[in-house]
Amino acid sequence: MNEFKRVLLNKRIIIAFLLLIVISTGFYLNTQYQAAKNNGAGFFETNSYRKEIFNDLHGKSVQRMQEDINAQLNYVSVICSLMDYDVIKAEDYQNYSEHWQEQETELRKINPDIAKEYDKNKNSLDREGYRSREWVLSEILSQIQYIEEYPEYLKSIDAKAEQMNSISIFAEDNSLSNANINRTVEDYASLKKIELSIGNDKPITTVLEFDSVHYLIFIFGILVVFSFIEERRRGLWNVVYSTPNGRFTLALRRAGIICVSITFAVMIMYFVLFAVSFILYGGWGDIFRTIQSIELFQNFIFPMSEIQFILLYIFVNIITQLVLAFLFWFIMSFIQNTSIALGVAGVIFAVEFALYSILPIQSNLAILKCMNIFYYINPTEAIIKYCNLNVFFFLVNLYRLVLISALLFMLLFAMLSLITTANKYPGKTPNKLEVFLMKIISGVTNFYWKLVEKLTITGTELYKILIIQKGWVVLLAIALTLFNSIDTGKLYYSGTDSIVNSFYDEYSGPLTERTRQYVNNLENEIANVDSEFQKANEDYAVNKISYDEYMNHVFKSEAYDSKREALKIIQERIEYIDQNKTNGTDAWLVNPNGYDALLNISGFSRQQNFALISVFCLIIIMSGIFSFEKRSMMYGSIMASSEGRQYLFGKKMICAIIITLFVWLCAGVTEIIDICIRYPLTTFDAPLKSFEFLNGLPFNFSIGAFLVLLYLSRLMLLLSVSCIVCFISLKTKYESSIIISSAILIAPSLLYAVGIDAFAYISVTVPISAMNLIIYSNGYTFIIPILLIIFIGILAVFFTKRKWCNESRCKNGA
Amino acid sequence: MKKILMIMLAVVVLALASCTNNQSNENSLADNSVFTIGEDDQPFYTSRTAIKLSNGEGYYFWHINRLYYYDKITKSCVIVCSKPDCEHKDYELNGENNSCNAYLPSDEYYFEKGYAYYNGSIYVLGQSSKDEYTVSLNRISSDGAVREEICEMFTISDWNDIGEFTVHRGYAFCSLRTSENTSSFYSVNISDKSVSIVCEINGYAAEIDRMVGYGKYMYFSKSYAEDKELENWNGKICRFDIETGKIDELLNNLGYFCVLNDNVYYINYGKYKKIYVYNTKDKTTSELADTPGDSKIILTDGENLYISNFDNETIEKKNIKIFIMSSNGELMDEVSVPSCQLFEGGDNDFMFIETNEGSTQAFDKSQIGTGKYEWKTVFSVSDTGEVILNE
Repeated sequence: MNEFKRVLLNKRIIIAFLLLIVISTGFYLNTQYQAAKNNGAGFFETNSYRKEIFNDLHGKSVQRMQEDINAQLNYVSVICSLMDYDVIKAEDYQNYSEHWQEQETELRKINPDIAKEYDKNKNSLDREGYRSREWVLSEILSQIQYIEEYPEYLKSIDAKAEQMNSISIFAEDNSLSNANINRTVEDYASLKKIELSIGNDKPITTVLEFDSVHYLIFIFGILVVFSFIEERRRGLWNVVYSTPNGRFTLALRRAGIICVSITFAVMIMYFVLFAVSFILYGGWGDIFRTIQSIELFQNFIFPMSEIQFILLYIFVNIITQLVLAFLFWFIMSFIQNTSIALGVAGVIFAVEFALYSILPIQSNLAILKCMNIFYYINPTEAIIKYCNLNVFFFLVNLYRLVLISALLFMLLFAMLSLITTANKYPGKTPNKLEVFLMKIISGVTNFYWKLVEKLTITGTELYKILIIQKGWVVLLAIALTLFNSIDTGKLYYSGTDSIVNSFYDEYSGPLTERTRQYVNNLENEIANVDSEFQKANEDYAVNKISYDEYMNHVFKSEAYDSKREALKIIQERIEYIDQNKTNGTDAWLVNPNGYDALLNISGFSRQQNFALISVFCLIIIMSGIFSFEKRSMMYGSIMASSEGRQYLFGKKMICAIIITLFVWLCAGVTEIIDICIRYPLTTFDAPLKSFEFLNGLPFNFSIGAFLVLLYLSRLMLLLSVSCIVCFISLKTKYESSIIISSAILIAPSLLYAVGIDAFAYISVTVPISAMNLIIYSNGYTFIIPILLIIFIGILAVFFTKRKWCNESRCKNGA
Repeated sequence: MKKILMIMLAVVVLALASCTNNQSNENSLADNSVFTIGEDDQPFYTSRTAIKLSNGEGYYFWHINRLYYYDKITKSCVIVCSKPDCEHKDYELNGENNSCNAYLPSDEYYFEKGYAYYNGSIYVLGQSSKDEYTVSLNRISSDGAVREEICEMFTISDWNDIGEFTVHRGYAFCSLRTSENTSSFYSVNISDKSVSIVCEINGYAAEIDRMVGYGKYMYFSKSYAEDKELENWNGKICRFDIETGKIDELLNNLGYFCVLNDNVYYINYGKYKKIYVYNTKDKTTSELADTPGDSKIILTDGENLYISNFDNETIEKKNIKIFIMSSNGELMDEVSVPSCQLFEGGDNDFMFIETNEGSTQAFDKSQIGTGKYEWKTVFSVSDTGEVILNE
């Protein structure tokens, strides 16, 4: 019971949980608001109108509903279109007269009464209100159509199955296709008896489409597991391990804590979300209608009501989240060093993410895609989507696979965690072999310790971070990971690319008459070939030339296709430069391939990944830089020593800078090598606006200077990240430092990486990777997040120094 | 004990060997066919993109991002997706297409460069999961339900520079333009996934095309200009010996050719407008017959020769025909195809054409020699681009 109280009634866990609920609800509301805004509709207006419509539709037949909605939608759509025409007319009359006037006339002709009414009241009409109505009515009409067509859809499954069974490639007995066809028919048969009804889909669909909540619950699970390694941090592990209930009983209680905390977390999170969504959208009265009435559940094969589905959904989420929590607990208990354990967890997550995102569902390795951490984090697709998979020559339903595998993994990881936690010794007496080996290496060890004794203060600090705290493992891992990502394979250039590359080799730089002459010559050459071919065509038609002669022209003309393509590309580039010149902007001819791969869209994913890896690595290493002194009970002694404050602080910061420089160099050098192997990076003095993708930038200095600034800004940002982690490390303990730093610096970036765009605004890796931010920002606005993070980094140094150097009383953190 | 083990091992090996033989017999065509379906390259096609790939019981074909199958017995065409609940839409839940088995987009799977049926699966080149520039060899199960990336082959800036692709006797072959004046001929041993360059040809605007697998050889033609100005062109029919790795240059020819009974049949349209036959054993060339109907295209289904003039723009539509000729030059029949846009080939049982109206029509070859010809529409595309099956 004490362990329950210690973990679950811990104020930090409670605050963190409340914070996660607030974040979840806040993001949910923001998502709903943005959805309405993106449709040009008002958030509250849409919701109240939707409720009004559903009240109005209550008790009507489907056919009557369709007629009513169609009539209303027609009226509203005409008004909206007329309003749009007026806006276009006011903004750009020429555009209106060229493209829209005719359509407006036609629309008015078809709907004279509505047009008349519009003209009469147009100054008093609420544009947003009409947009809201149009959006809601379209959605409801689509719902009605779905419900009308659903029986036909079910019939079509039987018809298709019958046809498929007569086709040789599907009909083979005992084949998986044949089994899938028959299983599908059987599974859908139960849906034929259900009755669908129109209702408010929004409270269910919006919650199910809200992905962030799964990740927030996952974060909570990690927080709970972290509280289990508290005794290691406090140096009490030996004591706890030697108490009567300190091994298996304690592990068993902790397993219970995970089960209780995750169950409550999932239930409360979803209770809050569903409560908010039902308050927002209404639809309480629909919770007993069949869930298949919602189009999202067209292929959900279990007939049940909305409320039954909600309970099932929460149950499955509890199971899958338990798998993750037990897996994480197993890793943390199996690997005693927290840094290495987190590194291993990071690698497992990266591999799982790669399998989840790369493998198609038709892959023979699809089981690795589906029995995957990311399916356990968010099992929505597995629950609502009907899919049968080939699992070792057996046909398995995706939903059942995810649920059963989650149950099995939950039990497996729980058992492994229990066994590992109960049997992992905090320390042990060496056996005979180990004693023998230790004697042999004692000579080497003595030499090693003599070297360590000669280390300077900075060297000793680096030794503490890299050797004692195993930071070298993390640095080695990042270096290997990054350098392993370099692709050394030969890239063959197409004929067109070869010609264009040769052109750039010769003519890169400012646009000159010589370049224009080259293009003119190429144009003439191609024109000559075309006219020769034309003539050959005519001559061959009247038998003036032989077939062989004619074919020579055909082959020649075809061989010129590459040159034609190349000329087109070169002409576009020259046209772009001329356009810039007309606008008074300096731009040169530069081969854009390398810069495009380095800086443009195709490089965003690489930049984001490198930034994420770098930050992850810095968090793990820097979290111990100050907290290590507390953990090893040296804090008091250091504070009391003559050079333990200002001087040692400086040395620690130098270590942080050295490690950050190493990480930055690994990421930067890898990126440059990876690009340079395949593409030329030349003409560093060319103006930035020589590249179309950088044309929106508010400055135009050289690309070389831009690269220097870009990489320097990345270094500054990584240094800021290091300083922030150092500050957190000083204020908290090692594990807490990792959790807090990860929550602030990693979690938003990960959520952004898995596709939740809202987290881009608070993601630190977006400014570090920089190019996405720079290219899509207005003017100089991209500087704001970069400067903000650097400023926070400077503040972190300031406060870290103040805390470390001006500590008023020496207290031992341990 | 050792002896007993050896005997048991021998029995197992023999049993496995006999199983393999049974399977290949089942896959083979009629006795008079010279190629084995599921093992050899299929010779009866004019365009690798539009090839109708026979598995003995029907034909696979690919059209704009989707794979279809025409069944010989039911004479009906279906989408290669064994999910009765699938609506075969391009985009599914969350905008991600991961459901329809038949959805094979052209930017991920390079069907336009050719596809092959080998050992019960369909093989095609495609974009590697590694990056957008790496080309990999992919295997798709006969029912479309399972896909597998077998190995990476090469990295190229534009996949349009891939020439042709096919599979013959356990090897995947592919031609590739590797620079302005160089083309390479790649092969992959499917069982051990080893990738090698069979040969590289250099020459002005050099290209490798028209690959034909026959017996232990992969025939191909290489074309190049003899001068820098690209005024005079030459072409050679070559063959690669899969067993020895040796390459022979057989004869000069720039046009269509086909291989039947160890003879290379080709049309010398330019000078003589005649069909010639090159005997690969005694390396002699002889005249076979006059080219019927001013044709330039010659194919074989492994039994007879098929000659067509559908691509000859000087021919009136009413005179567009497919001529069926025996391997000894005897004209057996001619089928009028006035609306033929592309003669697509097929196998021993059916042949296909694409019409000017955009439909694909099948012709049951048992009608040859009867004088009564009926074409069945298996697939058509409406003005809006909608595909209509079994109209």
